[in-house]
Amino acid sequence: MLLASATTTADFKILGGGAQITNQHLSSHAKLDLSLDPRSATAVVNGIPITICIDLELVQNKLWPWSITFLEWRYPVKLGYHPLSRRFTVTDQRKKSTAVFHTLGEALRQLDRFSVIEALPAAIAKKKNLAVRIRVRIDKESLPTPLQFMSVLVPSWNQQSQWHEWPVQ
Amino acid sequence: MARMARPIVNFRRALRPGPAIGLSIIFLAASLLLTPAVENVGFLGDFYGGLVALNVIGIVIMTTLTAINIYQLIHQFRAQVLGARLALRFVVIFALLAIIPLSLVYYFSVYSLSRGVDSWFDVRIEQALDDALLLGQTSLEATKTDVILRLHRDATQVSQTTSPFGIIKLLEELRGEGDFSEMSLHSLSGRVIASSSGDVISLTPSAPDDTVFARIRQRKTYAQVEPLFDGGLQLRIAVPVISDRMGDPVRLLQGLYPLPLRYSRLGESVQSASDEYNRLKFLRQPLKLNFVITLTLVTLMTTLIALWLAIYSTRRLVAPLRELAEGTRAVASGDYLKQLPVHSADELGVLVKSFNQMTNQIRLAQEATANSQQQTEAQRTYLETVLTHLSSGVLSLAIDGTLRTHNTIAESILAVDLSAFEQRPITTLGDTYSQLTPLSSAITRHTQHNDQDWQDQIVLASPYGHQTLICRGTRLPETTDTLSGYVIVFDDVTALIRAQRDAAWGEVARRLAHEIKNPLTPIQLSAERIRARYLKHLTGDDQATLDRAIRTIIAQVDLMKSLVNAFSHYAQPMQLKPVTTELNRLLQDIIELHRQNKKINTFELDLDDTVPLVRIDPAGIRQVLNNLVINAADAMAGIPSGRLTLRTHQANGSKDRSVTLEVRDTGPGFPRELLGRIFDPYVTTKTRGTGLGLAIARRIIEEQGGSIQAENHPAGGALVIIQLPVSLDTKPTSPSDGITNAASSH
Repeated sequence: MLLASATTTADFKILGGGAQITNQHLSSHAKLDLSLDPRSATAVVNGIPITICIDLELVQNKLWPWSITFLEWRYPVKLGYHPLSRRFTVTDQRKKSTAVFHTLGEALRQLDRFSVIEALPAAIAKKKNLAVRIRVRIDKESLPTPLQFMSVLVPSWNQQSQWHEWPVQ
Repeated sequence: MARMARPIVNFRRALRPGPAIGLSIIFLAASLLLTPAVENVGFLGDFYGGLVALNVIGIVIMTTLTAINIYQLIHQFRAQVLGARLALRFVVIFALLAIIPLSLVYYFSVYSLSRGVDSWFDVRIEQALDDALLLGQTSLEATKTDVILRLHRDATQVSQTTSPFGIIKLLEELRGEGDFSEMSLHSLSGRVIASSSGDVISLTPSAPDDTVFARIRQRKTYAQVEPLFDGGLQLRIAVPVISDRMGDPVRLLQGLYPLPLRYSRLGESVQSASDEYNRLKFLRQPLKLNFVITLTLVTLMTTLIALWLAIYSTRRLVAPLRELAEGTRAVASGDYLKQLPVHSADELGVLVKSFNQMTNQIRLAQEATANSQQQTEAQRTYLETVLTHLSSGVLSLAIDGTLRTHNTIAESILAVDLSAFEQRPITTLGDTYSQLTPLSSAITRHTQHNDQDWQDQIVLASPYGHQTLICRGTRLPETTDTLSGYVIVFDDVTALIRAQRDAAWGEVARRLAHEIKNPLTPIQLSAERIRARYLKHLTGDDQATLDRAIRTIIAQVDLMKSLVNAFSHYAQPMQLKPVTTELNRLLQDIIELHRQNKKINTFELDLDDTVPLVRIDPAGIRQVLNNLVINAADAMAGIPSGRLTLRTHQANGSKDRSVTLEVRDTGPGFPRELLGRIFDPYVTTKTRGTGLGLAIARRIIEEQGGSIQAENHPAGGALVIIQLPVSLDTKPTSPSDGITNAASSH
């Protein structure tokens, strides 16, 4: 029951988003749709925290097919279960805060809205044709060692979204 | 091994272990590091995936290497490369010795591992942990209930307070009394009405989320234990604040109650244990799978490395043996220069060194033997050359009288092919050729008597005359059975004896000429003086008697003079002048002179027109032929159908080029008892004659390099065969030379 709402569509999706630079600060936001594979959800309930990592890149598009990456950020969020309180926790390492939820679905929905503001070097902030790329994935390196090897073999441990990109306003 | 061309694989290249050993060490280390990695020891846990990948790559590489090596071995085995069978056998043994224990260890390790991991989990422990967690939760529920009741009382007080400052002050008092870390009052729209916090740094109270507001709107209490980011637990309690006054909105009173540190630690401890247990339980299958994979990789890697090392060691072990086998095969085929490289100082190295020493010694012995054989062959060739050029015939006989060897002169002297009698008893020589019976009999007699040294003069009777041999025999020292026997050396002394006889006759003739001819003239003069002085004084019968006696004396003196002159002529050296002559024409000229001879009924000339020119003294040949024709005419006197035949032809089978002239008559032939010495002086069948005609004829022929022999023709009559040397010139020196010379008969 705790997992029902979290595993309906076992996929990580990015529904939309945007970015703008104001006063040498990059403001980015994205609408995410996260749901865990039943195997991963079961692992969370059994005390194996799963780190969901949001990768953000600031790139510059040129005429050629590939782009130049100026800056990269990683935003790991640890999804866990607290047996004593029977609650799911979402721990943001950057904010150093832990949020508590009744269900895993509630915890994932907490992550649906992603927004962040990062300071930029002046030289980069002035560049044109900048774009933001974003991806959300399970951080396999944070899994316990036995599951790391399994993550190579089992696709359910290899959840990640496609890269989504939108221009910086 | 290659080998073995053969599709022979280069053993030396296969023996280069450097890269493979380096790879083996790397892969072995990688496989050994898998164990601490799977146990997440230190930093290795972060490289578990990489180590697994490295091991998989290593296994693929080692499998490929091992497969290539095994394929090469099997290929060499099928190609029957030397040493491949032994190498394959060793590899199979080593592989079995490595794989069987490893398989057993692997099986029991997997079994023990599975059982060991399963043994971590026990229903009682799980129940105890669940109970402990439940106990903690129950304790938390009790605390929560107590705090909820307290907060409800506080909410009642807050609802009765209307002043904002009063509310703040009240919250401050209630927070302190209730040991809350923070108390805050919120409108249902989310606005903070008042708050009190023990954290002086915090400016805003912890905002309740939508769930909390939803509960309060339903006039229900919200209570939740929350883990803190930096550890510890707190109770978040929210209750509705419902005022008795009409129109006052419902508000939300939230209190954050930190659980006591000891209590939190105990709860965290219970939760941690339960959490760890559940985690391990969940990870049981992946963990077992990881351990099995790790163990499998390690076992596979170890097995492959062991297998490869087995192949490598086997090749190192077999390589010297293979080289030794090749070396012995080379020695067996006669290659005594074979030297093997010494790779090690162990027993195999000693064996290889011994082999090299052996081949070296064999080579030296072979060279010595070859030198000895060369010397022996040279000596044999030298001896054969000496024997070939000896004027003596040499026969070697085995101890049982079997003819072993002979030289060419022996065949020449005996005029038989002795090769046909080799390895046959010498008696068969006499049995086959009756004229050689005296020789074989003498040899047999002396060998049977086991005479050490002996010498005999043996006379062989042949159709061409007697042949005198001086035969000497020696028994060889008994070194071995094969070398013991007899050596017979014989010389044909017929010519020597004849020369001696001729010399004696020459001396006789010279003495006769000197001793007899000188007194003849005084005798003749004295007889004539007697007749001149005393005949006129006699008369009648006395006168006639004296005259007849004187005449007789003078006639006999003339006869003795002619006899002495003949001897003198025989004793003097021949003055021959050989020139290139056409023999047939010379014969026709000579025969024309004798056509009027009544004693010869028929002259028959059977002259071969193809005979080459001969180098002879025509006058000498004319004298010889005159003698022969006269002798034939005398022999055929009184025979009505007497026929003289002259035949010329090229000599067949003669090494020296010569022309044969045969003179045959149909008379009674030569007396058999005189046949062997018919050419000796004073041998004649005539009542009147000097007996020097044939002797002089032989001297003329032989001094011109020819030969003459006499025999009786099987059809009757005498046959004289003359061999004359062929001239090297192609034209006669003088066609008419010598034709007018007078013929003479002795």
